[in-house]
Amino acid sequence: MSSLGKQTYDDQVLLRYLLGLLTAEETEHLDELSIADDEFALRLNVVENELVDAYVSNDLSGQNLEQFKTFYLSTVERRQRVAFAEALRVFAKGTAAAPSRTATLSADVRVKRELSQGASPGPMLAIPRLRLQWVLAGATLAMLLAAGYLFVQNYRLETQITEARAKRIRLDQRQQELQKELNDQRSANAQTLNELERVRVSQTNLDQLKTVSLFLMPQTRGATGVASVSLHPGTDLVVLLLAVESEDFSAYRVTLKDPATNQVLWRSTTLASVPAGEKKAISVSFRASLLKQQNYIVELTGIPARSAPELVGGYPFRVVLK
Amino acid sequence: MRRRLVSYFDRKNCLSPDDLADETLNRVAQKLEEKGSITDLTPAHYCYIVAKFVFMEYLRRADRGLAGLDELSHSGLPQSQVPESFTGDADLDDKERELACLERCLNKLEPGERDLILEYYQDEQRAKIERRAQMAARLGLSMNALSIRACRIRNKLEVCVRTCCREP
Repeated sequence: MSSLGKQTYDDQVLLRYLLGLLTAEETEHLDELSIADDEFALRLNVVENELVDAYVSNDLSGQNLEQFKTFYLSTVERRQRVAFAEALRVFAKGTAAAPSRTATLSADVRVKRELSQGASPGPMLAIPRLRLQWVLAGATLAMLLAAGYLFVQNYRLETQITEARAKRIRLDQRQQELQKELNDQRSANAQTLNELERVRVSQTNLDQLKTVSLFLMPQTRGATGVASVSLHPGTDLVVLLLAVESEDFSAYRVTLKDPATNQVLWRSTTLASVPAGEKKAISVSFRASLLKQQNYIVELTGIPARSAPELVGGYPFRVVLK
Repeated sequence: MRRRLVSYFDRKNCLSPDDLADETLNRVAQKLEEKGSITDLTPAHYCYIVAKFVFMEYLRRADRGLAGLDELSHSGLPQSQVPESFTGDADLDDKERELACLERCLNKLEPGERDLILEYYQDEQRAKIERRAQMAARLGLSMNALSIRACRIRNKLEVCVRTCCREP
């Protein structure tokens, strides 16, 4: 008999012992320990369980696997151990997956069943769902309000744009009118300036004109003498003062005629009498170039307010050219 | 002790390791009755001696051809000659029965033992090692102590399951 001293047991040796790979002497020694040594027996039991577990988990390979199949599985007892190990492994794995899967499945089935029946999923799920509904409702309302605000703003802006355009058109038109007025005013100003210039020129010219004046009395019966006027070369105007014996008219008109042909040589505008000493006279002027060396007659016509003009008198005179 | 003896005879590829183990224990008991005590050897060692003799007798019977068919072992038989029902392709009914017995026996365990044994065999390979390390730390045990505790619970379960499976 071998001594049973304290020793450490190499699991690999125990493994080979279980697979029948030790020598007869080694095997007998471990046979004795397997019965007589409590610690060894326990360790051998553990190693054997691990060996069987490795086989059912397909973790054995090579010689160990072959030896397990040919040697270890050669007895009913050990095959029953393998069957038990397989069952325990299956049960342990199934127990590990089952609880959560079962709980999840139960929860899913319960929720699906309740939802299909129209029931709420329960208070725990109703609270987030209700809150979600309120949130969605609030978001929808906010969007509607925003859309309405934008619509109103858009309409208002479009109206403002239309008004601005109309105002712009009116302003353009007004500008055109003002521009036209300005142009017209400028044109009028220009004409006025021209007129003023012309008048100035005329005034200047008038100041430089050579004139000859003649005072004439109306022709009476029996008068034999005819007043004459001498016209020197360069005489511009002939100014006649026609004496008026009565002021029966407020306005007069003068006509220059050739007495031989009774041809009207010149006609004046409406004239008013002017003071001539103690009496009144009508002053007319016309271009000297109208006159030749001959006799002429000037007829004075009074213009009443409401009736036809009346011949007041004739004033003959003679022109002598020098 | 009986379990050790059964395992011993089983490793020797004896067909009836239970009977041989019982035979061994009977002889030890008979010796104790005759002598009152065993002083020169430890009881366990004495059991080994007796078991060895029983095994030798078992072999002599086999050599003489006096062993019945039920005493012949399958040692040396190649895998192909092992009954197919024990090659891992056991009948589904047997597997289902075994699982049912296992569940029943697990329910007979104390809750702590049940949880321990199921968690001990939960994962595979690396995850299994890590889980066992976490269990040992959680329980305040060394890995060896945890494996021994699991082994004892497993042995208890295994005996229960075999008894259950033999029930009609």
